[in-house]
Amino acid sequence: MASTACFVIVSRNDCPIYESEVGTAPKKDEAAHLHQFILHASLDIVQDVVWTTNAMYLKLVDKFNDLLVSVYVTADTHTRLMLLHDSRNEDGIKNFFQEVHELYIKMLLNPLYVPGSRITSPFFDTRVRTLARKYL
Amino acid sequence: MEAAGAALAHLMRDRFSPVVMVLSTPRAEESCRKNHLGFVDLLRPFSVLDQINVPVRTASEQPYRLQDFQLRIFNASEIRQPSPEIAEEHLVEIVTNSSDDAVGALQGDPANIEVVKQMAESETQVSWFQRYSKSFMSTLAFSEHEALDHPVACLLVVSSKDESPLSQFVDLFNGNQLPRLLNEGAMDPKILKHYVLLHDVQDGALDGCNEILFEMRGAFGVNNCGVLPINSGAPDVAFQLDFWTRRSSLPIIPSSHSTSELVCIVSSDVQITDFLLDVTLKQVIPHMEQKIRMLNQQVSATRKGLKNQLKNLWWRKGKDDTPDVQTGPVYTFSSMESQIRVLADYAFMLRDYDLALSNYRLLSSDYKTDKAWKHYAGVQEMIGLCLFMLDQSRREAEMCLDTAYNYYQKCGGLTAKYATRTALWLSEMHKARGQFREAAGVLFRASVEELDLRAGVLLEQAAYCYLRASPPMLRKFGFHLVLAGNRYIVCAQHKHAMRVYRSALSIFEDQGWKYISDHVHFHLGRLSHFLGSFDLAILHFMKLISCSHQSPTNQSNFLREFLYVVQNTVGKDKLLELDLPAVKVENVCVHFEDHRTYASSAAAAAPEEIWGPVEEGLLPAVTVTLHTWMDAPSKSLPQVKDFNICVAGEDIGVDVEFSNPLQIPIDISSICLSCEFIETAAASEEIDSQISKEETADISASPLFLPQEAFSLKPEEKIVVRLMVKPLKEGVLKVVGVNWILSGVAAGHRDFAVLGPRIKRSKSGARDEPLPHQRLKFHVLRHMPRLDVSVHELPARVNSGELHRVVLELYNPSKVPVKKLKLKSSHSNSLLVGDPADLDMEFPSCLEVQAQEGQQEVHNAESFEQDSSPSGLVFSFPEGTVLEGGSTVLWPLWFHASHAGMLSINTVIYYESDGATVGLMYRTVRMTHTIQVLPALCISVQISPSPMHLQQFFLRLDVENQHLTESFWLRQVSCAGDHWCLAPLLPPMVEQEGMGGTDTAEVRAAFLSASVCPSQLLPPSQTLSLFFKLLVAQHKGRSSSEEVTSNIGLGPPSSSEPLIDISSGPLFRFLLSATNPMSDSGSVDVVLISEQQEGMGTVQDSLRVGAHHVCHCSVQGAQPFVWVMEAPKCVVHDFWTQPFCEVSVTLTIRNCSIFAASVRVETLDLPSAASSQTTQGGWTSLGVSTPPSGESSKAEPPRKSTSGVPNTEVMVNRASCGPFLWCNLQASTIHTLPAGASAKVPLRIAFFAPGSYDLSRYRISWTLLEFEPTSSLSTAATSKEALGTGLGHPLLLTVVQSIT
Amino acid sequence: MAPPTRAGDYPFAPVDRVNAELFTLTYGAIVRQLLTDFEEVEEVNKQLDTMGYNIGVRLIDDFLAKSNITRCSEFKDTAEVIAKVGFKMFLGVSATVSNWSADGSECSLILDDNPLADFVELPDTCQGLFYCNILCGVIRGALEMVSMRTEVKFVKDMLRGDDAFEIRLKLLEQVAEEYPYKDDE
Repeated sequence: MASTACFVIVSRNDCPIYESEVGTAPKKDEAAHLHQFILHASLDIVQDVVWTTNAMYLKLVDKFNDLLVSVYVTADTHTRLMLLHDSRNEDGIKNFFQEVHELYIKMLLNPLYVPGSRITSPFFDTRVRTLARKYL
Repeated sequence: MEAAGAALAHLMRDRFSPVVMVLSTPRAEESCRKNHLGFVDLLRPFSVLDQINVPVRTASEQPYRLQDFQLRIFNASEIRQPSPEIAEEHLVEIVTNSSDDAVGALQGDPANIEVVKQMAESETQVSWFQRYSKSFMSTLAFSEHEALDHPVACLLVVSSKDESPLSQFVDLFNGNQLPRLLNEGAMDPKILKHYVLLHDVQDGALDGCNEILFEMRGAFGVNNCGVLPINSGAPDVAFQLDFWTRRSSLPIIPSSHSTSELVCIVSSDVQITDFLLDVTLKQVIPHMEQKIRMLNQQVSATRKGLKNQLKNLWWRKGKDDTPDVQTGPVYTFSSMESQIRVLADYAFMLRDYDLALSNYRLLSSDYKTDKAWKHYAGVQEMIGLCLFMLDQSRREAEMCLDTAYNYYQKCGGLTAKYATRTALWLSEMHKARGQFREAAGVLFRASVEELDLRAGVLLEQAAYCYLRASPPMLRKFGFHLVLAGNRYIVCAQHKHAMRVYRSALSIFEDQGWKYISDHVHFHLGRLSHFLGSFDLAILHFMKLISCSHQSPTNQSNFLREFLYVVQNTVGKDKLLELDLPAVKVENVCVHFEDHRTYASSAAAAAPEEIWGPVEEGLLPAVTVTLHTWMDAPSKSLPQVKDFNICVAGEDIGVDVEFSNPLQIPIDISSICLSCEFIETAAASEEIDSQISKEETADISASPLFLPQEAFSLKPEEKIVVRLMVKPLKEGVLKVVGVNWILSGVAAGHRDFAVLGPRIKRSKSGARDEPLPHQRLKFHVLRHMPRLDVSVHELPARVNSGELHRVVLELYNPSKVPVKKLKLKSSHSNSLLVGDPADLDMEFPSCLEVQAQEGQQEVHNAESFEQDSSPSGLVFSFPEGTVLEGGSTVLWPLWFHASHAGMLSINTVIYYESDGATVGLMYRTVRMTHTIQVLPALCISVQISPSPMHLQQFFLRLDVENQHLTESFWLRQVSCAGDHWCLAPLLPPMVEQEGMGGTDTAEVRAAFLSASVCPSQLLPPSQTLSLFFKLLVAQHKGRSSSEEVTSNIGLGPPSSSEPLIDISSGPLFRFLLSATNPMSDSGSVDVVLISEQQEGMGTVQDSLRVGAHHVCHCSVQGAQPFVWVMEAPKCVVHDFWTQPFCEVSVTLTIRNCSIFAASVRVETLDLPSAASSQTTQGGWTSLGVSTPPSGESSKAEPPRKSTSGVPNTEVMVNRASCGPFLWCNLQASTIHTLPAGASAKVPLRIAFFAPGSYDLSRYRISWTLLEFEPTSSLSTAATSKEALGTGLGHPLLLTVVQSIT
Repeated sequence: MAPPTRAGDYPFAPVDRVNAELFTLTYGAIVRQLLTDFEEVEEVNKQLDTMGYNIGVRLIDDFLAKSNITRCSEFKDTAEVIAKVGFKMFLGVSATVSNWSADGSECSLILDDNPLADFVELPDTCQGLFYCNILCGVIRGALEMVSMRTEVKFVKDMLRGDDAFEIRLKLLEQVAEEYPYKDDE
C-alpha cells in the first residue's frame, strides 16, 4: 500500500470530478494543493502521451521529485483517471484503474448522474477506497 | 532557431574572449580621473573590435580569418574570484533592483497569458534574467580549473608625469599586487607585457615624452611599448554620454562607473581605438598563435602516437597511489594537463574549435583517470560548448554538458555553482534549438539543487520555457511559476512573487481544481496586502472565505487572514460582495400588507384563492380600487400600478435564507435590508435614489426604519430570517438586497436577484407578485389605520350542534378613526353576528325566554342585510359604530356547527378610514379559524297523522348520542314557527283538569320524566325515542306568549329550568339559516336542545347548550289521507209523526301527502253480505281490538257522554239495528285537493227506526296527481302507489224515539 | 386461474423483449427530464404516477388479452395476478404478495429486484423521489379499468436504503361503473 496516493478523475474539460486521498499517510493540508498541482500539471504530459498510444493505461507519465503520476484514459469520453503515488507498482495500479473504470461506467449508467458533473455518490467513494486498499 | 543559435554563439564568444590585465600607476589613474573614469573603464568601450580582417594560423597550416575580435580588460585587482558572500549579495541586489523592469518587461497585465508569452518570446540580452545569468557567470570567472579567464596579456600603464617611468614600469609588475592566479602558479607568470606611456595632453605637448618612449623601447623592446595621449579636444557631452553607455559593459564588481560628463577625450577616442587595435593585432593574437603552436608541438610530441599513449597510461598507473582528494590533484601551470588546457582554451578563444575539441577530449580522459572531477567537469563543459559551436552531434553536446553538470554537483560545495552555470549553458542551447521542454527540464533540475533565490529565478525561466513550448504547456507553466513564486516569497522578493503569481492565476482560476486556486489566491492576497494594494488583497481573500472543501483549520485560517486584512484597511465602511454566509438571493419570500391585512399568521399563510368568494360582495369593484389609489396623492408616479402597495408605518417582511458553508461557526451581526427610497416629493428626479441609498446607511436620517438582526451560524447550518423594513414616509421603496457584518469586522452585501416563478412551478403560499421586478418594489402610501382583530372564547373543538358565544374584538391602534365596518364569513350558517346586548348577560341564560325588542330589530336589520348581498351574509355594523383611534370594540358572535367534521371559517372584516385623503380607500382584515366538530346528538323525527283528528299528528323523536365519550342532558324540545305547537302525550285525566294551569306543569313534567323520557341523561352511543302530540296552531299570527307551548321542557320535575326561546335570538337565526326560507307550511322544524356539563363537578357557567335542528319533516302517515265524519252523537226523533228521520253529516278529508290529489267519496248501499261482513268486522274490531292510545282517547268520550247506556244495551241496540239510507249522490268527487288542504263533503242519512247505527258505510278512493315514483324525497308517499282506497271509520249514531 | 408462475411464464413467452439497458436508460431519461422540468421532487412523483396511470389504462387490455386470465372477482386474486403475472410479463420479475391487512383490503407487493432501478442512485438533490413511482400509476390505472378504485404507493424503496421495494396496495372501493378520472388529483 502506497504511503501517499492521491486519486483523481478528471473530466474531459479538465476539471476534477472526483478526488480522494487514498494513501495511508495522514492527510496534510499543504499536501492537498501540492498533489493537485502535480496532477494538474501532468495533464499537459498526458495530452501528448495519449496520441502516442492507443492503450488506455498510459503507465507512468510524469514525476515530480519522488512523486509519480500514472494515468488511465477511458476510451469513450476522454476522461482521465490519474493516480499520484510514491511507490512503483505497475500491475497493482493497472488493476486498480481497470476496476475503477468499471465503477465509473456504472456511474455513467445512472440516469440521475449528469456526465461530467462532480461524483458525490458515497457508494462510489467507498468502493474506490476499498479498491485502493486492495491494489495499491 | 538560427537567429537564436547565432545569438548564443555570439554570447559565448564574448564570454570567452581573451582577458587583458591592466597595471597602472596612481598618476596615470588620476589623469584618467579627470573623466571620472578609471583607465580600464576608459578602454573597455573600445575593446570590441569589428571589421578587422586578420589572418590567424594555429596548429593547422592554412590560416583562417577573424572578422571581429574582443578583449576583456580588467584591472589586476579585479582578476580574482569574489568571495561567495559578496557575489551572492551582488546577485540578490540585481534581482531586487530588476523587480520593477521585470514587470515593465511585460507590457500589460501580468495576469494576461498572451502578454507573458510575448515577453518570454521576445527575450533579449538586456532582459533582467540575461543580466542576472551573465553576472552570475562572471562571479564564477577566474577559476583555477580553467584557463579561459587567465589573462593572456598585461598592460603596464605609467603616466608621463611620473618621474623615472622606467623604474615605475619595473616595480609595477611585482608580486604584491598581482592576482592570485599568477602568484599561486595556477598560470604561467611569464605573460605578454605591453608598456604604455599615458600622456595627458593638457599637461603639455606630446613630444615631451618621446625620449621616455625611446628609453622604454631600449629597455623593453621595440614592439612592446607605446604611448597613449588622452584628454585632448573639447567636451561634447551629449554625444559622449550615449556613446559611453552604449559601449560600456557591466564590470563584475560595480566600480565607480559613473557616466557623468567626460571632459575632454573626444578626439582621443580614435587614438584609443587605434591603440587597442594595435595591441590586439600586433601583440595579443600573435602571442596566442605562437603559444598555441608551441604547446601543440609539445603535446603532439609527448602525447600523440601509440608510444606516448602507453607511456602516459603507465605513468598514470604509477600516479594511482596518490590519495585523490575531492578536487583531485592540483595541477601547476607547468603540468602537462594545464598545458593542454591552456592550449585548448587559447584555441577556443581563437575560435579554432576543432583543435580545442581534440585537446579537450585528450584532456578529459586524463582528468577522468586522475579522478580530478572538477577539472573533468570543466573539460566536459567545454567539449559541449565546442560541439555546439561546431554545431555537431547535438546529442553528444548535451551529454557532455550533462556529465559536466553531474560531476560539478558531485564535487559539491562552491563547485556546485558551476553545475548551475552548465545548466544555464545547456538550457540556452536547448532554447536556441527550440527544444523548450528540455530546456525547462534542465532549469528545473538545476533549481532543485540551488539556493532559494536562484532556484526561483531558474524556475521562473523554466516556466517560460514551458510557455514557449509548442503546444504551450500552460499547466506546467503555471505550476513552475507557482514554485518560483514560493521561492521568491521565501527570500522576500515580494514583487517578483506577486508578478509570477499574478501570471499563474489565469491558468488556475475557475478550473475546479479548488486547492490550487485557493493556494494561489491565498498567496496573492497576502502579497498584495504586503505590497499595500488592499483592494486586491480583499478581492483575493473573498474568493477564499467560502471554501467548503478545505479543512476546518484552513477555513479558519483563511477567514482570520481575511478579517485581519479588512480590519486593517477598509473596515466596515466598504460593502463587500461577500458570499459568506451564503444567501439565497434568487428566492426571497415577501410578506407585506396592502389593503389586505391579516389577523394571524395562519390567515397570512392561507392561499389567496380562498378569500375571493368571501370578499365578493364585501369589497368595492376592483376598478374602483384602482381608481382610488390612482387618485391618491402619489399619482405623480409613473406606472404606479407596477408596484406593490404598502402603507407607511407598517412592516414589510422579507424572508431570506442564510447558510454557512464552512465547518466552523461564524457569527453575523447587524443584518438588515438595504433599500432605495424615493420620497414622493422627489420622485421625479431619479438621482435621489442614490442619495437615499446612502442615507439608508444611517437609519436615523432615512425615512425608513430597518431593524437589525444578529445571529451566529453553526457549521453548515441553514436558517431563514425574516428581515423587516418599515417605511415612515410616502414614496417608492425598493428592497435591493441585504447587508450584514461578518464577525464584527467585514461588512457584507448581496443584491437580491429575484426571478419570476418558473413555468409549471407550483405556486408558493406567499403572495408574490407574478413579475420579478415588482416583487421587491413598493409604493408606500399615506398612513392607514390597521385594525387588530381577535376572536376570544372560540374553542378548538366542539360538539356538533353546540352553541357558542364568541367575542370579536376590534382594536384600532392608530389615531385615525375607522368607519363602515362590515363583516363577512365563509360559513354564514355557522357563524352569526350577535348584537351588543348579548354580551351583557351571561351565556346560557341569555337564550331563555324573555322580552325581546332590541333583538327583533337587530334581526330585522340582518334579514335586510341578508337579501342585500348575493352570496352569503354580509353583516355591516350599525352606522353609528365608528372605531375611534386607540379604542376597542367587543362584538358577540354566535357559533353553531350543525355538521361534524373539520370546519375552517374564513372571515373578512372590511373597514374604511375616516380620514378624507388616504392612499387606500378601504382595508380588510382576514381571519381564519379551523374548528373540529365532533359528532354529538343525531336526531330524527317521524310524524304520523292521527287517524281521528285532522289537526293532530303524532311526533316521534329519535335521539342518538353519537359522541364517543360525553353524555348529554336533553333539556327541551321545540318546534319552530307559529304554524305548529307541540304538546306532550298525556293521559286524558291530566289533560282534562286545568288546561294550561301553572300547577299542572310539574305534574306534566313528572309524567314526562316518568313515561315519555325516563332519563334526560343520554350516555354515549345510546338511543332514545320521545313521543309528542303535534297540533296545528289554531290561529295564525298568535302572540309569542302562546308559542311557549311549542316548547316542552324535558328537565326533571325538580329542576325548574326556564325554557329556551327559539323563536328569536341566535337559535332562531341559526334555524333560519338552516331552513332557507320556510317555504311550505306543511313541514315542521323541530329543535332539540341539549345541554352538558364538562365533567361532573365543574362550575355552572361552563354549561354547554346544544341545539339540533331537524327541518322540513313532513307528515308521513300510513296513508296520505285522513278523513273524519262529524255527526251528532244522538238524535231524537219521533218516528210516529215522521216515518224517517234525516240527519246531515259532514265528512272532512285532509290531504296529508305532499301532492295534490283527486278524491272520490262513495257511499255504500244496503249491506250486501259482503258489506254486512265488513260492518260486522267493523264492530268486532271496535269491540275487541285494543285500540291505539289516540283512538282510545277519542273513543272514550262518547261512551261517557251516553253514560246511561251500558255495554250490553249497546249490544242490544246493535242487534236491533235497522238499515239506513244515504240520501245523497252515490259518489262525489273532489277533483283536486291540494297538498295539506282539507275539504268537506256534506252527506245526508235517512233512518227509519230508532237505534244506534254505524256510519262507516262509505269508501274513499284517491289518486295522487303529478306523482312520479322516482322522487328524491323519501317520504312514505313515494313508496306507496298513487292509487288508494280506504273504508270509513266506524262512527256510532244513536237515534232515539222521542216520547211524546 | 392457473398456478401463478406458469401463468406468468406463458404470457411472457410471446412478449418480444427489449434490451434491458436501453429500457432502463429510457426510463431514466424520462425521470431526469421530469426533474429538470418540475423542480420539486413531489411534483415529479405526481407526474410519474399520472404517466403510469395513463399507461395502466391502456396496458390492462393488452394484459388481459395476452394472459387469458378470467376477470378475478376477489381483490386477493387480483393482487396475486398483478404480482405473479403482471410484473413477470412486463418487467420480467415477479413480486410476492404479503402482509395483508385484517379486512383484506390492503396488501403489499414486494419486489426484490427492479429492472427500472438498475444502476440508479439517488443524489442528495433528489431525496424524497420515488424513482419507480410510475409502477404505482400503472397498477392504479389498470385496476381502475377493472373497476377497482385503489390507492397505490411505495412504502419501501431500495434506492432509499430499504431492503426491498414494497408497493402498498389499498382497495378503496369496487365501483360498478367507470370512475371518471380527473387530472388534478
